[in-house]
This record gives sequence, C-alpha cells and structure tokens, in this order.
Amino acid sequence: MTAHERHLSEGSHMGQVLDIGAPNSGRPESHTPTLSVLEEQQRSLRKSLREGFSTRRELLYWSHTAAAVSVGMVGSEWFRSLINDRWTFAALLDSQTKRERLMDNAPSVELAKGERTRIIQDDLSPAFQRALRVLRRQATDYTESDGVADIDRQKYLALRPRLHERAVNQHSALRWAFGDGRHDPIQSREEAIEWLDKVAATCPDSKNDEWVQQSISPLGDWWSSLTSDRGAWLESQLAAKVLPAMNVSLRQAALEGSEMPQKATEDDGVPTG
Amino acid sequence: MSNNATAPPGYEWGERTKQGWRALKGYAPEKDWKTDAEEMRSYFGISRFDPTDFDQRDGRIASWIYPDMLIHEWDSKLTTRERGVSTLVRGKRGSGKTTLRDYLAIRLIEDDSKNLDIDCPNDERVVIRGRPDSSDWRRINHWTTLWLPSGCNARVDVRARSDDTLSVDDLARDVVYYDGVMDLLRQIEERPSGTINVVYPDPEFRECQEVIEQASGVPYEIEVFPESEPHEDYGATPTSSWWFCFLLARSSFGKLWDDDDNPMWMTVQLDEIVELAPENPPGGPKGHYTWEFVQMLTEMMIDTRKVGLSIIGYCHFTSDVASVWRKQFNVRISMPDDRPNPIAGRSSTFPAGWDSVKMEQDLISHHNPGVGLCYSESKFSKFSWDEMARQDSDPELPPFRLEIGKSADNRTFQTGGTSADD
Repeated sequence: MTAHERHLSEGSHMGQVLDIGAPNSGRPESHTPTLSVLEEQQRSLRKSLREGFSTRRELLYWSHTAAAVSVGMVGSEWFRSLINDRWTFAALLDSQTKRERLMDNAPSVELAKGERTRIIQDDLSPAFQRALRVLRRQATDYTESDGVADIDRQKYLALRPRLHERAVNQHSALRWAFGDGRHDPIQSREEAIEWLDKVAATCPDSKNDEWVQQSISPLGDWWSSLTSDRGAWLESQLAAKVLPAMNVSLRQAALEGSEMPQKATEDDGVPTG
Repeated sequence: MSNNATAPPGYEWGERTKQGWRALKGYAPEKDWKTDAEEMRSYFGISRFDPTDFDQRDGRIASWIYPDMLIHEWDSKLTTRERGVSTLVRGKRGSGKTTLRDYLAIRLIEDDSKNLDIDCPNDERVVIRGRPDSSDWRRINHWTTLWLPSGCNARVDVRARSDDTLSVDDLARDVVYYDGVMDLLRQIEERPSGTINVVYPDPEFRECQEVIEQASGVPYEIEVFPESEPHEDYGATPTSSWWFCFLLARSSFGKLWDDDDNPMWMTVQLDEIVELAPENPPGGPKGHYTWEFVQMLTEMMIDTRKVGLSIIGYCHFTSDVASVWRKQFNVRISMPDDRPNPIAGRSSTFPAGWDSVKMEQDLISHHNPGVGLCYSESKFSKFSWDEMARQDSDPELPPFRLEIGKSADNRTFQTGGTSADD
C-alpha cells in the first residue's frame, strides 16, 4: 500500500483533495498533467474555503492541505493569521450562529464572505500562482510529444513522489496530534516522543527549533496539551510553530526533488540585459 | 566576445559619432551618423536593448525591475518607476562588477525613444567615479570624456609594461578640465547627452564649500579643507568626499531640462562606495565630517530621484556601507559570487530597511560572471551581459595609475594647459 493509498483510506481532507488526481477520476489527456491536476486541486481548496469550516481543527487541516497543494508557497505567517486571529477564524466558520457564539461583534455574513475573498486574493491565489509558475518551469520534463494520454494516472501530488510522501506524512502527524486518523491519542511520553520524531522527520530543518525542545518536556505546555487537552492551545501552537516549518519543508521537497532540473532551465532563460 | 566591426574609414573609434564629433570638433555632426551607444554596441557586439525580453514568461526568471532601473521616464508610461532610481550592486572581486558598470553605461546612453514607445529620449549623461588606482574604464576609453580638475598636478604611471609611456591625453577620447564642482556640472550639462564621463575629483574642493552652504536642506556644519590648505590637525579632506559635493550640486543646482526641453537624466556610477560612506562613519573635523556628509547624502537621496539623478553604487559587502545611506537604495543587484541572494522568510538576509523580498530561493550564487539578479522589495529578475572584450585589432591601453594633486609626486605636468612639460 502506497503512502497515498494509505492516506486515502483515512478519509482525510487532504486525501479528498489528492484524490482529484487519482485513478479513475475520468480526466482527459493533457500535455501538462502536473498543472492540470494541481489547478483542479487548488480550485477544490478555494471552494472549501468559500463554504467555511465547522471547527478550528478542520481549518488547520485545510490550511496544511493548501500548503501542500501550493508546494509550500504560502507565507510562513499565513497559518497564524488564519487560525489564531479570532476575527478571521470567525469569518471562516460555516455558520453565523457559530460566529456569534465565538465572539461579540462577530463578522456578518457579508463581512465573512469578504474576508474569505480577501484570503483567496491576497494569500491563496498568489501562492498557487507561484506554485504553478515554479512547476511550469519543469513541466516539460513530464511532457511527451503527443501529450500524456491519461493524466488521471497521476499518482503523486504535482507528480513529485518526495513532495507527496512528505505532505501525506505531515498531514498524518497533524491528525495524530489530535488522535484523528489511524492513530490513537497520545497518552504517554513515549508516544509524544514518537509523534515528535514523526513531525521532525517531515520537517528536517526544524530539529533545533525551540518548540521541538519544549514539546518533549513533561513539564511544558506542549506535553499536557498533546496528552490531555488537545484543544485551542495545541491548535494555536501548531499553527504558529509547526505548520510554518512544514510549509518550508514542502517547498524544499518540491524544489529539491530530482524531478527538477532547475539549473538548466534557469540558465537557458536568463534575458539579456 | 570580439566581432568584426570596424571604425568608420579614416576615423578612430569614437571620433565620428554624434557625440564624438561635437565633443572633438565643437559643431553638429551628420544626422545619419551613429551615436556613441550605437558604435559601442557595434564594437562590443551587443544587441539593442529590448525591455520586452523581461516580460514574464515560462521558464524565465524575469520581470521589469531591470528595465525600470535602466529606462527613466518623467511620467511613467512604459515603466513603473518615475524619474531616477538608486541601485546598489553587491559583488566580490571577480564577480564582474566593472564589466557590469561599463555595460550599464552603454545601456544608459542609448536613445530609447527610437525603439521604445516613450516621448523623450533617455540618453543620459553617465558619470563614472575615477579612482587613482583603477584604470578599468580604459575598456571604453574611445567613447569616454575624461574630466580632470584644472591646475592640479597629474601623473600617469603605466603599471604592466614599463616600456610604455602614456600622457593624460592618451587615456580618453577627450580630456576636459574643470575649475570647480559647479563648473564641472555646467560643462557636462552643456555637452551632448548620451555620453560617458569619467570624473576625477578635485583635491582643492573648489566651489564645494559654496555648494554646501547654498544648498537648501543641509543642516549640518561641514567644512572642507583643500589639499593646499589642510586642517592644521587633521589634514586635508579626503578626495572621496568630493563626491558628496558633486551629488549635492547636481541634486540642488542641476538642470532638469536641456535646451531642447529633454530631461537632463544623469546616472552617477560610484565604485567602492564604502570609501565614501563606511558604516559608522567618523564625524566632525577629526573625521573630516564624513558622518555629516553621509547624513546629508542620505537626506538628499530622497530628492535625487525627483531631479532625474540616479545613483548606482558598487560594493563588496553591503554591511560595510553606512546603513542610513544604503537603506535609500530601492533596487539591488546581487552578483554571482557564491553568496545567495536574500530569500523570503529569512528576514536576516533582507537588505537593511526592507520588510520583504520576493525570491523564494537562492537564484544567483551558482552562476558564473555575466549573470546578475536585480530586485526590489516587490520584483526580481535575472539579467545577463556580455564580456565586452576589446577587438583584436584594437589593443587596450595598458593598466595605469592616474594620480591627481599632491599624490602625483615627480610631477609630470600640471593639468589645464599649464603643464610643466608644455
């Protein structure tokens, strides 16, 4: 069972989005399968955002999926502003009742709609465009002279196994923090360390980060939140500390993958000054 | 890369051009003659500048930040920046800064009105900082006017081959003497546009004190001490500080329009700007008022753009340059020297005073000389330039050292027609 198939079996939001490029989705042929499928996946994410989210955790998962589909091109501060800003979060909830329950002076339906549009316009679309631009530079590597007949045979996110695997493992780690998916909730120090190792493995550059050191301390907030609370504090910290690291790691996976003959295309494309 | 272009029959390179004829003969050239820029492009095998090469398209890291830097417009129609632009170029030795400087000079003197849909010609007066120990501008000497302070001792030492001798008149197409910083400014303004001017500063600082005192917006007490009348304790003002006075003169008293109502664009290219404005500059008479000069220049930079003055500074390490000044450069160029460009998300790599950059990764360090990365806070673009080798049939001058003033010991002659050798 591949990482992708395993992920699909978990029925996560990321799995649904990645499923857009999976077998039997009935898409036509294309010369640039990477871009076609990615655009479809991005469209799906925008649709989810417009429809709103039932919980902060759902938004957290969605934002990570957006990071993956943008191949790590969203801004590092984006997660914090999206999830930890009370007004923004309220605007992204899927009902006015929830919004008003969350805060006084909650955004109206119109304001909530406007805020979602702003996020799409200011954050999501630029990131998706950057992703497409980066991938487009290498898209010819996957282009056959007659086009790729069955783009729905696409198995990996953006045709990049490394990126796909990293995204799926990250998402799985996120869900594990809340006891979602195939993992049981974290209850012991051993499990917390195992969880941390999984996160660190998917964010190779984050091993020395402060939050990593803190999260394995039984005296710290991370510890208690991971093992018992699993509430707003954990969501907030994941948005502030972990998701940015995951985002960078996704970008690196997309850019450093063996599928990207970056230097050759850049050198050929330098305009004469 | 050499090509087979030849000078017009019976003439030297740089002689029978629109600018050259007027400079050497003093009267109007034929209308169909080439400009300096056209002849230089022919000589070095450089194509005409086409800004549409910088339109964004697949497979290219390109944007109009580079054309914006080169093409100056009073009211932006083609580009997105109005009037002048200040650019800071960072590159270690051997990364191609000097070649880029000369290449940019050619681009800046092009008359863009011919090939671009803009109302006015953009052929600038390019001023290059002359330094005693650097003769690398000799590559473009056929089309260069060399400006020297009048009445000062000058000495040319040939460095490489001892059997060669050179006089000042051998160094450039024409040599012109100036009597003070305002005199220099007015002479450059009166001469043709689309010209390259290598200027050696005046160790006597003539007209500089007057410029400092008469320019508005100089709240600092600055006193310059010429070489002939040095401060009794701290000696003469370093000639590198003369450039502050020139920039102040141009910014405060320079003409904005020529007699034909064309903008009087000027770009000043300053090598080794750390010599002018080091980080934490000393102040007061003991520090030759360098701190005050830097503050003055920093405040002046806000206005330079408005008066059609662009500055291109070159340095090895930006952190060595006075931070208050370097913050005023709104366009940067990273040269290929194994150092990565600033990268988004890593604020420690951002230029001082910038909140962001758009580069998501290192784009430049792996390149060989001949490729640069031009960027602002909102755009970035790669660009390339040619090697600019002299033609085989036209050997380059040997490297030389041009000393002005007291440092020109063993006085060869005095400049300005009062030479001891005359």
